[in-house]
Amino acid sequence: PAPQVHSLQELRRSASLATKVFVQRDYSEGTTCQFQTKFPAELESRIERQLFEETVKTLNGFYAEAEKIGGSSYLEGCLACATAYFIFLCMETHYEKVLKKISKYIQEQNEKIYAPRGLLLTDPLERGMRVIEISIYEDRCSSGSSSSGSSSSSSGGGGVGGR
Amino acid sequence: MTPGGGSGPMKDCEYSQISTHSSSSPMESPHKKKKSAPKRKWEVFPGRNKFFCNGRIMMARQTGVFYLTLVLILVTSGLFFTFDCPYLSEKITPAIPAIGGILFFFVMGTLLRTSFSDPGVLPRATPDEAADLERQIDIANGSSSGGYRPPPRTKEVIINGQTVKLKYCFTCKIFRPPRASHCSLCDNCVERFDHHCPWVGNCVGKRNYRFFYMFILSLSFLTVFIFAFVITHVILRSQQTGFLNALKDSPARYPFTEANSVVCFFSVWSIVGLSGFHTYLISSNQTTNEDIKGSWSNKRGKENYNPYSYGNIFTNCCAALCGPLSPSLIDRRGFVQPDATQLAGPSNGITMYGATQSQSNMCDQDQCIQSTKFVLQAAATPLLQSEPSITSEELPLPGKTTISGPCATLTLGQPTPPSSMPNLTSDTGLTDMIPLKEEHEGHQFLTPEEASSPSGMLPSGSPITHSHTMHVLSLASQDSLHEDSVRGLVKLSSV
Repeated sequence: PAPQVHSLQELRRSASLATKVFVQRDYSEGTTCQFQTKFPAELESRIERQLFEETVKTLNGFYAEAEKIGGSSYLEGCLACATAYFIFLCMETHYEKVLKKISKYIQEQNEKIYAPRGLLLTDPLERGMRVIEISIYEDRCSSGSSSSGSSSSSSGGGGVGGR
Repeated sequence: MTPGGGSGPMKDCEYSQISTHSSSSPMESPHKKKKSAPKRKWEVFPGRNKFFCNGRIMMARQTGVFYLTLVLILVTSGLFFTFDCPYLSEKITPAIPAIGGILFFFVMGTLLRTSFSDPGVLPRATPDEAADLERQIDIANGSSSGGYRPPPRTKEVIINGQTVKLKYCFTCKIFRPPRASHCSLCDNCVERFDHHCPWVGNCVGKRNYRFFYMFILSLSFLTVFIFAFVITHVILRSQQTGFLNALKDSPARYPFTEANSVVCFFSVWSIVGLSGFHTYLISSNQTTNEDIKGSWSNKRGKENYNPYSYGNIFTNCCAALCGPLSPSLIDRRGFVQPDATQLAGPSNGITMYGATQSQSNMCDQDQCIQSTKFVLQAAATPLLQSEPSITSEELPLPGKTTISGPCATLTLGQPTPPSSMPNLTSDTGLTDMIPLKEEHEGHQFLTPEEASSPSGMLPSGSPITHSHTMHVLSLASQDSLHEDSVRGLVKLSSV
């Protein structure tokens, strides 16, 4: 079987979690939600730098769009204020709409780009918007490239047998 | 040999110590109820908050003063509408009760919004996150040895040219984002923390600041309104019957008019003053916290300025009041994933958005199911594959490679009912196996092996015993085992 290529489902069945990388927030522009585009060292061998950076930049763009202060957000704010904020009980805010887009995007990225490389992105919303958690999966039968996974894989190499 | 082993695993213990300590006592209760209905996240929330309506409403623990606020507003307004409005609507215009009604409605709406909504609580770090941060801090500090709390950790960032220090929160195990602060009353980190207001029974933070401001603003208008018209009422009456007569009559015919005016008089000054103060804060884009500390005042230095201000008053106001409303990060009404409850703080997790939710659901549950199957399968085969189990998560700790392998093996031996722990990091998995097995009946035979191989001699030592263990364990009651495992973990953290 091809060592590192997995679909998302296969990934869960046949791979084990080796380590997690956390992409932290970038506060240089204030409290708006932006993530650092610095490429983590652990991903060096797993994914192309450019793909990763593109993912993070797109996510940053989404968050900037969600938190944008402009005409439509003012309208929403004023309307909400006028109704003593009761309108929030029935209407979805602009932010929530963008968050849905983001989760779709992340799932799509996972399926197309990250899972085939044995990686998994976690939506930052699930981590309190603090980090983008990237789980690095280790193929059970392959000799892992990730440092902490290597010994377990090698020790598992002998007993693997049928795989 | 102690379960802790050498200094390598000791360091693991240290990490696990921190990880497991993040769970407070409410965390342990869900473990026992593995088979009962799944719990919602608000039920296992580690902060000191009260929840109502199955997680829809969130307040601070002390709500006495909030009820006082409610009573004051309701009684004052009620008296006004009952006793003053009929006269005034006749004499002057029926618009008075109408406007009063609108104001009252607005005040109640914003008050309830402020009190019941999530102020912007930051969920606590997952064990992996916390461990990763710890590791980075240790690297930065030159890995100080454990045993004493290292000096407060700070990180400096430059925001719009101004240097801001981010503090590490020991309770929540995170570096607080800028402008966030930890509320000691609610025991939560809150984003853009303004203050904890006992009058509304909640913190005031990023998500409910605009409701709070609209509340005090509309309350100012309401109190001024009521005060003005109560006075008008008395004056009009006095014109008819003379001032002293009006006052004499009023207790009998218009009860509480004076009491109403007195209450209003004092409220007016305090509420109007507060509104004015917050108007100033909004226009300069500061929080009460920052203003009190003088974070951005010129007194600290000429170079000190507020990096968050947009430059002009209008934009600042619009941003604070009409800016986008960020969603709640703590997902109160989501269900706790049984395999995610363990040592973690509140499960940060399952979002309301279908795609990600199913993804993370499937991830955890599939892993659990797969690992359980794996355990049962492996139990049948005498030769134990010493492969890393799905449930073990190994930390990216440098130089720990030799431990990770056997650690994973040890974790395999642990039964993996759905409620056990993919989040269980390898460091805890390593050392918790031993006390775990010691506790559980029927596994004492393992103890000597375990005791002699704290960090990784087990696979070579006793694969067969291991498979026996797993066989027994899989048959054993998973409930109590699970409970024991948690206790074991918590005990372990004291090792």
